[in-house]
Amino acid sequence: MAGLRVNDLKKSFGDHEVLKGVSFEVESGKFLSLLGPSGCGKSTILRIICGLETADSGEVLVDETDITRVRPEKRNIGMVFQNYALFPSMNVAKNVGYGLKMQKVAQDEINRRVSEALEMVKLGGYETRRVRQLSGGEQQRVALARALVTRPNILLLDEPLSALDRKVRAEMQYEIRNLQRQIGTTTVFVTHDQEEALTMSDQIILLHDGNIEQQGDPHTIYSQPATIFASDFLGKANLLAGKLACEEGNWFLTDGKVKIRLNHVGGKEGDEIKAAVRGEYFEFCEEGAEGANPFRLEKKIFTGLAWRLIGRLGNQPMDISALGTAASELEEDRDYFVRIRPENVVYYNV
Amino acid sequence: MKKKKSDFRPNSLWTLPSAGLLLFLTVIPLIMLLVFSFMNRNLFAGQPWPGWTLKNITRMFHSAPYWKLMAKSLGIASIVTLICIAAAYPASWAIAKIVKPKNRSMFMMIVILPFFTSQLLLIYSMMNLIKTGGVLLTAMDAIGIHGMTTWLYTNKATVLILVYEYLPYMILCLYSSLEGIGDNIIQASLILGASKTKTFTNIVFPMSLPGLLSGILLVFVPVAGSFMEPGLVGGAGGSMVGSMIDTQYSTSLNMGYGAALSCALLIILSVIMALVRYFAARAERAIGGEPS
Amino acid sequence: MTSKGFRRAMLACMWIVLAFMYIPIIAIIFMSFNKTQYGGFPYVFTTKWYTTLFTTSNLLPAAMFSLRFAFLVTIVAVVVGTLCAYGMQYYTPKFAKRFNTILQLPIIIPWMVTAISLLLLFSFIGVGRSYVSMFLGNLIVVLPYVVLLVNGRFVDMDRTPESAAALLGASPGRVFMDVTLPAIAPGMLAGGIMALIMCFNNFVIQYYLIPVGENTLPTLVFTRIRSEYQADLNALSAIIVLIAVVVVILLSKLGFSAGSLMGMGGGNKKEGN
Repeated sequence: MAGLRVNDLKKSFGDHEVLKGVSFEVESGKFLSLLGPSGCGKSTILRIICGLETADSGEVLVDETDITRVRPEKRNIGMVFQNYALFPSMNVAKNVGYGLKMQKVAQDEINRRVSEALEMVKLGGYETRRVRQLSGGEQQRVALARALVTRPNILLLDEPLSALDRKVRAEMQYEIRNLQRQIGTTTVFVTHDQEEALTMSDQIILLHDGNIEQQGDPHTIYSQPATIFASDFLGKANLLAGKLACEEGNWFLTDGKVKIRLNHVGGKEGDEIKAAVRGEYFEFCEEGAEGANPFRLEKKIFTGLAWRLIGRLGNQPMDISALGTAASELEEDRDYFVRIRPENVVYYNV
Repeated sequence: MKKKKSDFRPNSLWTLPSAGLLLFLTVIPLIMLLVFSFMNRNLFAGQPWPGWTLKNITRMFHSAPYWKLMAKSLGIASIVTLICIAAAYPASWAIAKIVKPKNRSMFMMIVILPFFTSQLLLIYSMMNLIKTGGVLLTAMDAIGIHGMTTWLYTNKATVLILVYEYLPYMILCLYSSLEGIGDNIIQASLILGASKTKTFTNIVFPMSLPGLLSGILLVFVPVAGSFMEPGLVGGAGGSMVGSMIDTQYSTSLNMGYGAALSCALLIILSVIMALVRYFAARAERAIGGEPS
Repeated sequence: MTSKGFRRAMLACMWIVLAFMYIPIIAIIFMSFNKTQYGGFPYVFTTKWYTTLFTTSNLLPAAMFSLRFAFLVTIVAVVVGTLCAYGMQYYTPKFAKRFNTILQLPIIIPWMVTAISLLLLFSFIGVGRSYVSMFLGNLIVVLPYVVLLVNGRFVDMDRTPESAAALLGASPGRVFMDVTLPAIAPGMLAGGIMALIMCFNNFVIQYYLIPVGENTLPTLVFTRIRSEYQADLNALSAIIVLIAVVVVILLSKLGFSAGSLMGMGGGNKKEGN
């Protein structure tokens, strides 16, 4: 068990600057997700941490020991690859036991630990299977067992679930998280799927264009996106344009038709701002209630878990999502009133 | 920091042995071939440089036999290539599209098996088959066709033997192209109302062009440069341009002249091949296939 | 394209082509058991040419020499060629393309021109015709096939298991032995077989570079064909055909396709551009 720290990583491929100075820290035993669109540099960070790629500058520290120049095979870092990267010429037991064999562990000890690891990923008895006979989910479990059986200081997961279908994926999300809690290995998880990052992580780092856009725990990242990019990338946020206004010490966003109260964090009256509001934070209310704004419902779509209500808040387009029963009564092409709590509104100067 | 022991990391320097071999055994010899074309006499180690001359080049341009043999070789190469295409196209089609899928690879193995024996043994067995008193003529005599004379030691025998040697290459190239044409594409074309001829010219033929092209390259070039086959089976009037080049090295020992002759052959072959590629690419574009 | 008559015609063409290819071979096997000295008729069964082949004939020693020689060239070609294919993975794409062009030269240039230019080179540096010259000449014509076949494996293979092995603590040497080698072995095998056959058969290169008065099987057969009918040659042909059949069956059992053996793996990459 060890903490991981990364200092000012920079990396360019040719003219393309992939990492522009990334620093972060993971506490021992925590689960960190690096989240971002493809090409944001998240996989490169992972490859630098494990030594498959060399950074142009910056350093990687495990428990405050600089390992930037240590060869990958000496780092004791486990990694699970997107395409599993199992050894096709070996059976399941040989795959899982490979790392132990490299550590020159005695064969019966290897056998014991391999069976344990396979039990752990619910593949007990799979020792002699050929890798090619396994399903995608099973292959991923073998890869996970292989990475964990050597008890690495750090576990790296490079989009391990993106090749799996939806159902297996949800199962694996849960299992990986459970396993990680149980063993307590510090884990860095790379994904482009915000939902996956939100469900699994202790901490999320949102990357964009080689820079850290925002970091924090899942709830903060989701409810308080620090930038427009963050608000958009983490689930669909509605952006409302307007002016900052102040009345009797309370701050508002106004555009003539709507007036939304918000917590003042900067800017002066009359500034052009954009506010990010998540559809699920709205509630329906009576006309004239405090903070009520007119909402014209144009279309409602049933998505299973909730209703998606597409319409206009004042003149601006707005997606609201509302849970089950309340929304089923609503009718299309009617006017309603909605309100939102100020702490759920984040705004940015434009 | 770095330990010597683990410096096994693969890197681009590993190509150096091969690159060196290519440089010293292909690139430099080719340059020497060109240089020696302008050399006065033979050159052996330890002897002084015999001096430059244009003699070889002028002699080559004025050598009527050389150009006659060149024309003949290119003619034979064209005939052999055409026969190979004519024979290989239907045969490859049959293997790729008509034979049961599970038997296809077996048939292809049968096609390339002769390659695993030996070039010379193939020539030898064909010679034995067609010679006077050989199996073929005896058999024909037996079924009542009399008075046939053997082709052996004529130019026909050269063509026959060359077709025999190079046919498998053409089948292999065409097969791999034809196999890649999905049955559904052909059916789609027929269902959409294209005639069989149209389907062939618009779909099948363009898609088989890459294979046809590599087949032509694999057959035409070595056939045009052959000298052993005409020497063995072509008889007195069977010489090809390769035979004449060979004479400069095995009999008359005139290295400079031989080098000039080979350079000219190489240049002519390269030009022809470039033209074939160019027209194949144009044909492909014209029919609407993607340029390879 | 689908009518019965058309299909029959195509199949008939196929059988005619196969007959054309196999009748001479079958005839030679048939004649190898014929007693007549000059291969004529009437046909009288005998096995005495096989006895001759294995006792007094000079063909067998030449064949054994050719086989040993071919093995030597093959081993060197496979080692050097595999190294080269491995190293090529670390070239920039642009440089790899240029290198490929040079690599194809020995395949595209007629063997006769290669042989003559090598003879010029070796005469120039004072080696002339020699076993070393012949070795190098054969090596350079088979090397590109090995490189291309092994390179094909590298291009097709998934490289991440190698990274995975390194992260599990395997030294680069171990990674190569445990992960890389099993993945490229089929390419090395196909390249090796290709090299072996080409060296065993390559008349042109050996004809120009072998020391005067020495013989490999191809050069010996060449001289013998020119002189007269030699029944022990029939016997040798029959044996070689038999070996070829066994080898081909073995290879197809190992999962090789005809195309992959002749260096045309997936499509017609061989010619490149």
